[in-house]
Amino acid sequence: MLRDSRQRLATALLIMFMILFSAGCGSNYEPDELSYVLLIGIDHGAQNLLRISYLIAVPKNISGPGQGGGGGGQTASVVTIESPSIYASMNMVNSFVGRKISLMHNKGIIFSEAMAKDGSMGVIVPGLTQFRETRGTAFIAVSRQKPEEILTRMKPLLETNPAKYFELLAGNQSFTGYIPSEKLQNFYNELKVGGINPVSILIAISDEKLPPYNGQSNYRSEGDYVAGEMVEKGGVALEAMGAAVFREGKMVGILNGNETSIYSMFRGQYRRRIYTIKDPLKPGNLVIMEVNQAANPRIKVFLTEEGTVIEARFLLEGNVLGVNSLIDYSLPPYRPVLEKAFEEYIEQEARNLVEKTQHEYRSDILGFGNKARHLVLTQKDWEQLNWPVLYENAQVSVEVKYKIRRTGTLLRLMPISKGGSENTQQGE
Amino acid sequence: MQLKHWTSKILGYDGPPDSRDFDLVETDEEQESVSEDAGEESIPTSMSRKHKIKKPKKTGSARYRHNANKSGVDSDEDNAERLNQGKSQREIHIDLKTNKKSIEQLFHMPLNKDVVIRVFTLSTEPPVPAFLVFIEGMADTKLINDYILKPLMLLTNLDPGPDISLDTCTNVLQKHLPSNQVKKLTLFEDVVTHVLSGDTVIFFEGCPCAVSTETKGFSHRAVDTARTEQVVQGPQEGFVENMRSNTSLIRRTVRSEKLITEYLQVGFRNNNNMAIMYLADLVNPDLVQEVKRRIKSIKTDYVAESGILEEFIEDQPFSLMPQIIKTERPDRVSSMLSEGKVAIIVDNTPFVMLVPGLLFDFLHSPEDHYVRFPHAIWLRIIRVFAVFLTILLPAFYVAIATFHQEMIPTDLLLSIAAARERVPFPTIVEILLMELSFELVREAGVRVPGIIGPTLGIVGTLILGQAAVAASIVSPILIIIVAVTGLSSYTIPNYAAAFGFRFMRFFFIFLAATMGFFGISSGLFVLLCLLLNMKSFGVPYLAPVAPKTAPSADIILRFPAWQQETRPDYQQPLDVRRQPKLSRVWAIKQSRQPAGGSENEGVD
Repeated sequence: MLRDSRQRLATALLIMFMILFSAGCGSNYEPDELSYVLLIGIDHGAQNLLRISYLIAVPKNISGPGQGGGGGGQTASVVTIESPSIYASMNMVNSFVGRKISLMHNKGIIFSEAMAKDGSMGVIVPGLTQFRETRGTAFIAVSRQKPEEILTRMKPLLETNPAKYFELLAGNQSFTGYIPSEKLQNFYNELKVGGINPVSILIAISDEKLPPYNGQSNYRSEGDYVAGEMVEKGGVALEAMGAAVFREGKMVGILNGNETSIYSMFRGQYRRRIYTIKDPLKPGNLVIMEVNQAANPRIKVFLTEEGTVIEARFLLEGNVLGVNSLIDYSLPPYRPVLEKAFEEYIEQEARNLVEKTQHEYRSDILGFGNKARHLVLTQKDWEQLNWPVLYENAQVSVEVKYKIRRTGTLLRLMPISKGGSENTQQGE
Repeated sequence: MQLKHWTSKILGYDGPPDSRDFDLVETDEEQESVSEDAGEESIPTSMSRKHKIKKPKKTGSARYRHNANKSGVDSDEDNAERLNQGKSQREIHIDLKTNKKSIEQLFHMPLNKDVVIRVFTLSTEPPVPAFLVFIEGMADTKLINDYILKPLMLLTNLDPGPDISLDTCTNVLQKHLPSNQVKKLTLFEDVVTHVLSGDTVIFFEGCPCAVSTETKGFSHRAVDTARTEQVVQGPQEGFVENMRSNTSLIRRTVRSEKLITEYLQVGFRNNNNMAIMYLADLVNPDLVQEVKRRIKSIKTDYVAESGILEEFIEDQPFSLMPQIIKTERPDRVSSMLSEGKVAIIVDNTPFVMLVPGLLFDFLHSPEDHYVRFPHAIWLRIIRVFAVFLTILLPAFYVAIATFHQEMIPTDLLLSIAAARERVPFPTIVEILLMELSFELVREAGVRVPGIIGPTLGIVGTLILGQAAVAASIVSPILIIIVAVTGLSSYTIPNYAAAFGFRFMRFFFIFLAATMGFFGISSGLFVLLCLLLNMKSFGVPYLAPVAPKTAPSADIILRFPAWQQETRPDYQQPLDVRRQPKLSRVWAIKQSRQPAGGSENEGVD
């Protein structure tokens, strides 16, 4: 047996091929044998447990052969089915869709508000995360209307490929701050970890109505909206604004855009956003600034005799984009005033948010619990601490440092000239 | 128990195969001297890279473990002699007529019309009968007329030699033959060799020897530009078929008295000449000995080309990768000679072989040294990248398109899927179809007559690809993949290496089609094992990377010429240092100049 090297080589090769080929080929699918789901909507079913909607890409319309652009047809199609589970629904869809349903390019999962509120969402998400095909980076959202309606009504304006639209929309968080940057994997983590509760993006169908002008415009902060309440028309009939707050896997409330920005600041996920605030020196006017977080937030948690003490520090910096009052905030006497005013504004907003999460929602979405975990040694100790109760009674202090870095490209702001020939009016 | 035994037998490693007994290693003295030097000058390293490579101690006696096999070799020689019998070992007879008869017999005279025998008489006192023999077409007839027949027939009488009959050969040699290369021959074997190589051999009455005169005058191609290894900057000359021209091309670049040309003959049917060239003060004598041993021990009848000889002497005939560098550029040969390699020149071949040939040598182009070093680094990076593209790009495409769709950006995936909408074949068939047609185009491009060659390339690539896409036989993305792969394979400067890499890609395509990335990575693992297992003339194929030897300034990145201070250590040259640490003496300020070597870090 196996005397010479040739026999040995042949045997080795044989064994190798046996191993390799028994392993291979099973999960092999041609790219055109799969139907790519771009978005999933999950709702309660009428005659079964779940009603699941899939937004399936139509490749030939997204990039037609040779033409490069869409062939004019529908770029994605919505398929809705009722089934007892998500995975079963994939098979059930394949009883009328030819290509195998694949979640590999699923960009987002939308749950109905009802599912979020009764806790079904918290039950489904771990199972979704477990599946090999789902992407942990898919965004997770709660819709105020029925998910299938959202999928049907949503027609991307600029993008031929709906997947690109969702990715960009969810990615806009980095410069709007109105939505949390919450992905499926984060949601699942926050669901299972004791020191933090999850949030999700809040989306709604816009009513596409512009109320008539009644002669008076009032200031309302740009983040003071939640999805579905914005006054807008055109584009895509969909709004992503604010966040849904969860406690123990159940949705307990919502945050508006401003609160979501502050939430992101606490979580260190805040990138950039434009703030319109009232001018501290001339209250009738506005200052518009672009604010970004200069460093990760510093959050410290202490367990004292009197209770939990939480200290949070934000370091923000920003650029003045426009000043209505024509006060030159680049000048040394004025700049600190504006900085101070904004610091106080954010501190107030942050205190309000903390207050809301402590008492109204009783949910530690800001992740203070995670920062407190190192105070105990074992999981048992942690469970004995009973963090939710501690958090409710915690004393939270927020300190904001704000620095104005740039004040725009004008050296000086000039008032509107009064009829003279000198016409150097500038400013916003 | 038995299972364990089998497993270890199949998967275990028990040393290199018996055929590979030659290791190019340092001698004990060299090792000692290195370790002694290490304290002061250290192993020549560039910059601050100080980590030294510990070399395994090996006893020098372990070089030829298989010399014991001598008896076997002897029996082979006997065999060869039996085959050699057409070529007589007889000595030249004193009688002219006998000699003439022997020559006629040896060359099958009345039958063989190429061989010419001219009988004449030396105009001496007394006249000496003589004849000369040459081959029409191999010898220059004008040379024979003017410088052999004329002096011997007409002018010898001017010189009344006193005892001409005593030793005609020597006399003629010394006094009457105005030829620059003459030789006295005593064996018919040598006569045949000389006549066959274009010399003229003269026999004299009463003389047991013959005189061979250099009259080579066959037609050959003039030195032309290199065809297969083109450079933009740098010398353009390429080798030709004539071995003498080739040696002179090399000698013109390496003007050193230490450059040695040794002649060998291989093939007892065609008696082809071959030369090995090396720099005697650089090359490791063991390497030369090994080259000579391999060439001399070849028993075959016909070696007409360096490619045939390559197969006879290479270490791993079954490997896809070449282990001997073949080049048609004299500048490449001379630079390699100065690194301590040995050149093997086969007559009638415009390609010179260089040993040992290691993987990284095949990725180097002579042009790398002729352009400025930042550009050369870029060239090299492109080339290494191209190697990976050549091997892996089609396989990578197959793997991600059929197994790992999640890796492709959604847009691209959707356009792949859209493009494949009307393609009837699975991806693997598609890609094999295109790769095969690419190979067809390549092969046809080489074989078609010169004028329509370039046209064929364009037809093949553009029109065929376009038509295949239009007919929905392949998807357009695939055309890009195949084209990029084809382009990358042509950036590999060595023809044989490019061939090897191109061939490998099919294995990887199959692996990818069956097992996705797992297949590719296991394929790469096997490839790496195979490469690691290879040696070229006693030097590990992946040196100096694995095994790691002293750092070299010219592996993937090329350092500037003034930083390439050492020769490749793994080739064990006799002199490792190319230039002193301070090679740019001018770069030191006049006042600091005497300070010497240690200053150069700051300046260089």
